[in-house]
Amino acid sequence: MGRQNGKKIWSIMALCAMIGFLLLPVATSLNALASGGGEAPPAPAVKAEGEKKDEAKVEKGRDVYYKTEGIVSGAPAPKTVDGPRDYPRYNFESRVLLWFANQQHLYYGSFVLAVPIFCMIIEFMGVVTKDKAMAKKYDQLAYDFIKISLTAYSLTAILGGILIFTFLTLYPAFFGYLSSIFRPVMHIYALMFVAESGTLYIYYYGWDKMKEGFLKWIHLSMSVILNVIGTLLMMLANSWIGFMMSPAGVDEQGRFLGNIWHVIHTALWNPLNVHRILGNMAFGGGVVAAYAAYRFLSAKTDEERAHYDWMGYIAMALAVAFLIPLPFAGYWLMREVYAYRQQMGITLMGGLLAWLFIIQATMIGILFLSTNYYLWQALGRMRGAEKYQRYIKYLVFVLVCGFLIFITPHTMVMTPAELKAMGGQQHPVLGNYGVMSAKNGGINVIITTTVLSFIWYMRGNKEPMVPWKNFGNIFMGAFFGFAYVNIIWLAVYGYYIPANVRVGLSVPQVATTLSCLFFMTALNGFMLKGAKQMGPIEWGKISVRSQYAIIMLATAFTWMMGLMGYIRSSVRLFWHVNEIMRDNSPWAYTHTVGFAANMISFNVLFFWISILFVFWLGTLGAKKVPVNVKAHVPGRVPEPAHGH
Amino acid sequence: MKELLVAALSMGWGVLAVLAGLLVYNFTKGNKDGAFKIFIGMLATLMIFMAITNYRDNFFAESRLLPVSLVLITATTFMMALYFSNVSALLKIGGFMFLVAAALSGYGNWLPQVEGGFPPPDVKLVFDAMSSQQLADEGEKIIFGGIGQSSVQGAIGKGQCPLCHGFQKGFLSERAPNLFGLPERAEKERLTDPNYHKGEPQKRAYVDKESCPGCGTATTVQEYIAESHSCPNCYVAPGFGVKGTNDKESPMPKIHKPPISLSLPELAAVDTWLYVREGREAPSYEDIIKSYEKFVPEADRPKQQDDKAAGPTQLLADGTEPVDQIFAKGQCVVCHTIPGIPGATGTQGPKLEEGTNAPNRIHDPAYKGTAKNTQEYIMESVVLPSTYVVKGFPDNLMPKIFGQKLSAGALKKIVDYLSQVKAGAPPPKIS
Amino acid sequence: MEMMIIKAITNPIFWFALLAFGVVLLFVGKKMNILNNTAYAAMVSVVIVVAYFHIVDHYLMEMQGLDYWYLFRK
Repeated sequence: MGRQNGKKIWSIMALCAMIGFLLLPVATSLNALASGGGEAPPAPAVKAEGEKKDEAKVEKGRDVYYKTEGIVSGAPAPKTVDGPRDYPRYNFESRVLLWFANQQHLYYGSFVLAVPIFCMIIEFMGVVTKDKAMAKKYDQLAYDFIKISLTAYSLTAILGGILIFTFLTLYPAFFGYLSSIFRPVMHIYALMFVAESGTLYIYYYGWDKMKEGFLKWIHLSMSVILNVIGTLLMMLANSWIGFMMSPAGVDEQGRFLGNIWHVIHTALWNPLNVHRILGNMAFGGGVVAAYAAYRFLSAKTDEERAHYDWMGYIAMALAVAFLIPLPFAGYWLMREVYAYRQQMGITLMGGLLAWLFIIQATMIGILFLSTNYYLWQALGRMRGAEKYQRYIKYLVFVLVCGFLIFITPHTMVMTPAELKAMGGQQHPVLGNYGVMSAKNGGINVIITTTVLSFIWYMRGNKEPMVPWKNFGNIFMGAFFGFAYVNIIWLAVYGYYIPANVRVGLSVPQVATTLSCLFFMTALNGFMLKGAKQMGPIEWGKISVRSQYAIIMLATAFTWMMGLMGYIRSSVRLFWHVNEIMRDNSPWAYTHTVGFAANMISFNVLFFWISILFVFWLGTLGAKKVPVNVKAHVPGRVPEPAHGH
Repeated sequence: MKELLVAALSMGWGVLAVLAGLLVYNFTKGNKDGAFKIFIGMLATLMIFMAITNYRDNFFAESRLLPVSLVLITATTFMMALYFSNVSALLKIGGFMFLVAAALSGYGNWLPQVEGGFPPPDVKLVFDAMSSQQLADEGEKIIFGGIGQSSVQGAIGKGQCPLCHGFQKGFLSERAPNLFGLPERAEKERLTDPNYHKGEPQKRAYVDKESCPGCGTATTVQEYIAESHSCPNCYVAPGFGVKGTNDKESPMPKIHKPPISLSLPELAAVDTWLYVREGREAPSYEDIIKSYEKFVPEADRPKQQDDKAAGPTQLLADGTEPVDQIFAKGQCVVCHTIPGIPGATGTQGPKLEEGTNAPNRIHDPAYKGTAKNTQEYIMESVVLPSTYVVKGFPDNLMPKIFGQKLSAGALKKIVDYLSQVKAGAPPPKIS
Repeated sequence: MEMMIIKAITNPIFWFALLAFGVVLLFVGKKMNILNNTAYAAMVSVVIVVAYFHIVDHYLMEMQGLDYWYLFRK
């Protein structure tokens, strides 16, 4: 008993230490923050007041974004010139080197930030699940997740170091300016990183020691703290890119005005934060799913296959769950971009970078197609799912139609001969499908079909037994049927009404899709209460092809992340810091789409090769099969113990 | 195929030779399994080198054989996966990922390639270092959109002055005074006008007494021009006031405030042009700036902008703005009353209730235009104002430049909005 | 006559009434145990779903200050 109490005390102390870790940077920086970011001379807050009255020497500047006045307390942004002083270089394009270093750091960073969030969710599921065996499975899965991220964690730190060295050696003037503005933030960042690693190690190594009762809850709250630190870290890093895109807290010449919060809290900071968190989660889910696919494909026993099939399914479900709100966060970000600088929005959506959005549209289509394909393959591991399989061909037809319409471009750059042959910028028939009205219809049809596939998957091995099941089925059919009708009708209707009314049609279209998602999954859940099981989910019985769908999804996520990051970064065009500090290096122009695509592919492949290597190392370390798998066949729904 | 093989061998013979050596070594040792694997490895190496050489040789060629490389590499990894069972999953996954990433790359390269050119050279105009002729040229650009454009009817720059003012002797200028001979007139007529109340702003009968509290009145020609720019309501030339205010209020916007927002150096350039083009000697740049600083408090001075507003097309509005801003940017609000648009209280043109008016106008026997419905009528009236002139309003008052200066989107928004404005009905929502 | 119909269907109250009618039918069907009758279920479903989607379309357009029935009112 005394030992138990001792453990409790120790664990509470560990938790307090962690919170201390978390607060440490804030505490140390309070002083600096109060004094305007440590830029001004000692005790400047009071002194500045006095000075203002005494001498007119104190220069004031106006914030470029907040329009407030502040005392100039920093040097102006350097006016760089092309040369070895501001842009030292190897015999290679510095920007590409930086691009590479940045992207690799970001991939690993996103991964190690996302995985603890999954861990937290899965560990929590394990704690609240009533089924003992399932709880153990979830717990083991969470532990596996954190184990993967631990190796990646040190790689992240190494890549971060490489990134800083690249900045210092290749862009000294720019980095000098940025770090002069963000000096206190960068130190807080470094301290937070210490806190993050400390917490992570206690969390990881304390797993076995703290697996029961009250200690488990302490352990779980540790994961919450871990994620709070991780999220704060990411938000601080975001403040730098936010500042580069939409500077604030400085005057026109880029002189710091003493309010560090304005510098952090720029126009695009919060939209970027939300978009990034969601994106990281989808990406992290993709990587973990790919890990599971790798283990599935290299599995030697049925138990292993069962475990990793299940793991891949969970990771994939989490990834898709975060993928769905992602476009809305993106929409918000885009709206804020337009509100900040209309020209920036036009460059993105209608100008120089518009072709990249065409690629993005294609990628979104690919993501949904592979998700659907995975779900159809997953029907194969259930007995009783045959009833749906013969309808899949119709879904394929609908999906392909939606996809083709979705990717049809409105106008293309063409040679005069081609132009003449086609009789105009737009194809006489296909040109009609290239407009937004039709495209919105296309993508909504795709998402609605994905929802339908998911519902079929949920029902795969079950037969509803509720008394109103006939009505329920008919209602569900009618709902989906009329949802399709409504989406397509709105798309067609858009051709007959003026543009300013038409743009609004996308909202009811999306609402229709979301209605299907929320109402129909809920209705399905009610209908399946107490449903008759036709047979257990036979984990591991899924086809090998399905694992390639997962890998496709993971690769596409990675690629898309690289693409969107490139778009976000290149929208600044020839500015280091938008409208404050010009890029005067020889690489201030924007690359062609093709070059960018090659670079993204290179980054994606490099990341995957390195992380597959990490996975492979992981299998070398632990050659034994997860022990507790044998005890129980995993399943989405807790099953009676006869499973094995 | 043959050339490809030769090229691949010439590139990868070293690696292949090492592998061949290993093969022989394994074979003599009797390690048949190892020898076989190395043989497979050699085959794979050859295929990869073929893929690489194909990529190298055909990258800029017309043959478009590049996907062959892609397929070769993927096929190689899968082939190797068959025989190297301990890393087979890695090879397969790697090969598949390569296929996906490379296909996406290919897609990116297949799309039309646009390269964002180098940024325009950093031409931050340094007005204070210019000669007065250079300054005058910049001023002409701001007023008319280009050097030498001042004699072209309808030419207009970001200052938008010619929308209302005439600048050449005899040019029509009914909405605002013709500015030809202004420096002389300012000295001889305006400053001495008893209504101007030089030195006694409190006695003025206009809407604004002073440009800013304590600013006082102008005492010199340049100060008069500066005051007119910063405070049009401080003195209104007889006959040019807003209709119904008995010349107490001017239709002119404050030039240093939105929507025009010229900075002080830009205003200095504009003023310099006004002197220089009449062959007069302009006051120095510093003096002009000083004259503006007298009337524009520091907080109101707009920062100098890079020539963003006057982009390559020089549109007044590009159609992405809400319709009320389009009306403001096109300066429609100065002359027209438009229900539902804040600030649109002009009376020099008809009230724009086109949902009601247009059908009547089309059926007017005097109507000679081609419009068949309300939308077409509005479009015609904006683009070709002289087609039909409403009774009681002069012809040729409205500029004929809107067809060029408003984007199609902006025109559409205007038409959509105005066609919904009906007499006696609540104004439509602004979109 | 035509005007009357257009006036009716462009009014959201009509669709709310239809939705309410559908819900009433649902409960009536439940009371009379004919809810699992295919024809009846189909009728109830169609009434509810059609009314629901029209309400969605109407209000989500109105929220943006636009008129969903633009083409019909014109």
